[in-house]
Amino acid sequence: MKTKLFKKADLFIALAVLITGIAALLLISLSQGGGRTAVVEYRGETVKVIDLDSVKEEYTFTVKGDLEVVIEVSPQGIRFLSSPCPDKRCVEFGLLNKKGQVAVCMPAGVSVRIAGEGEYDGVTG
Amino acid sequence: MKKAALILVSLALTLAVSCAAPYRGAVEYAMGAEVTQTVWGAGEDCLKAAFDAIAALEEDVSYRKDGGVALLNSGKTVNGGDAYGIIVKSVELWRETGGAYDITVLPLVRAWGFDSGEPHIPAASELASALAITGGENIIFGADGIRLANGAQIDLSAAGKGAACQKAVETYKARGASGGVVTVGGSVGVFGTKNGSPFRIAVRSPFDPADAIAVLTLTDTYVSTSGSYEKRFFADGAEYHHLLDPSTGYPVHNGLISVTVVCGDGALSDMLSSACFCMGMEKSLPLLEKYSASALFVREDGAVFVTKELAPYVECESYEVLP
Repeated sequence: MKTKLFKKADLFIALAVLITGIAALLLISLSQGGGRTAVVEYRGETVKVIDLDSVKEEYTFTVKGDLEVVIEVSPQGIRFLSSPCPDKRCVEFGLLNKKGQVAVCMPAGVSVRIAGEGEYDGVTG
Repeated sequence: MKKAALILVSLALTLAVSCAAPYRGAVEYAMGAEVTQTVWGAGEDCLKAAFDAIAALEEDVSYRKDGGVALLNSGKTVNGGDAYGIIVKSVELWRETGGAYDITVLPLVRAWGFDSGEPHIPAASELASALAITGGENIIFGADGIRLANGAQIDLSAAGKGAACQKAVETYKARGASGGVVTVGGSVGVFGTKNGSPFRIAVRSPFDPADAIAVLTLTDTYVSTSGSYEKRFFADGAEYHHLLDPSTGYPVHNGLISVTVVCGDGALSDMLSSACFCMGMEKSLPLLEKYSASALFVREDGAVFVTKELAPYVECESYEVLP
């Protein structure tokens, strides 16, 4: 007697679950692997998104936050080049080029971060 | 064949469920600091609710807003709310530390200009009048609540960021997230796991803000750091920073450059880091023990010291474990 290897319903379930699995894998690889993307934000709103891996030449741009800051982008990474803020912590932070790194100019309300999961989940200090 | 299909199905399911992708929020601002949030097993709504909770806390505890602390500073009596709870803890810590932790330092902070972003050395007379109204004894507990005497003014900046982390973590828990990390300035809250793993918290190097001096692997706790390398200025060839000794009115100089405290209570992690910075390493140890907290101290010469409870969770090039 011949028995069916799969019922139609089994196949649907298997397919649905496979698609979910592949989608999850894709999401994970998108969030972890591949290129470095810098996100510039002003008070929680995205101002600029930069694909750092495609940067060939150094350039600067200005973000008009609560203060006007200058950000420099180069093949090496991204950094606060100058800010009229009093403590200059943003400029002192230096170059960002690793996933998860964040530099903030508090008085300007401007932040720069490299998207994706970094080496650390949080920073104290 | 059916078995093979089942195995395939369960493998795919395990993969899909166990590897929940993290949801990262934008950098936002509250408590005079930047707020970053990442959650596992939850999304944007959860982060928004957590930020709202932090903003509500800020309203009550910031002297710049209109809540409990502002009311107290304007001479009113307060008998509830987030600020009230932090003040009760603060007065207890003020007693425990013999005055080293003191929330009545606002007049001193103002005299130095640390609140305005334009810090300067205060005139001797200005410092003396600020010192005259500094002291936890000016916080009066009455039958109808707390009030301030003698013109005292309070500032909960040394507790607020840690307390804010706890507000966020409580929201993550309530919303059923499986893990979460919140940072508010230099304070961090970690809850649950990221797909089964604990969290890696970098302790910023006091000598290079882009570098970590140590890494802590932790979960379900709060971490705060007080460092003299933050909010500092140079004048007359000397360096001045924002961690003021309430007894002298001057920045603390005891050889420490930063203190990181790990504690199960958010506000206390923040408060203890300030208290321990002011007290120095040796006197901090019994205090940390009393509050079931642990710490990592960095000296100005770069030497790192870790309490024995924290040592198993620390990665650091070179450090000494404290007895």
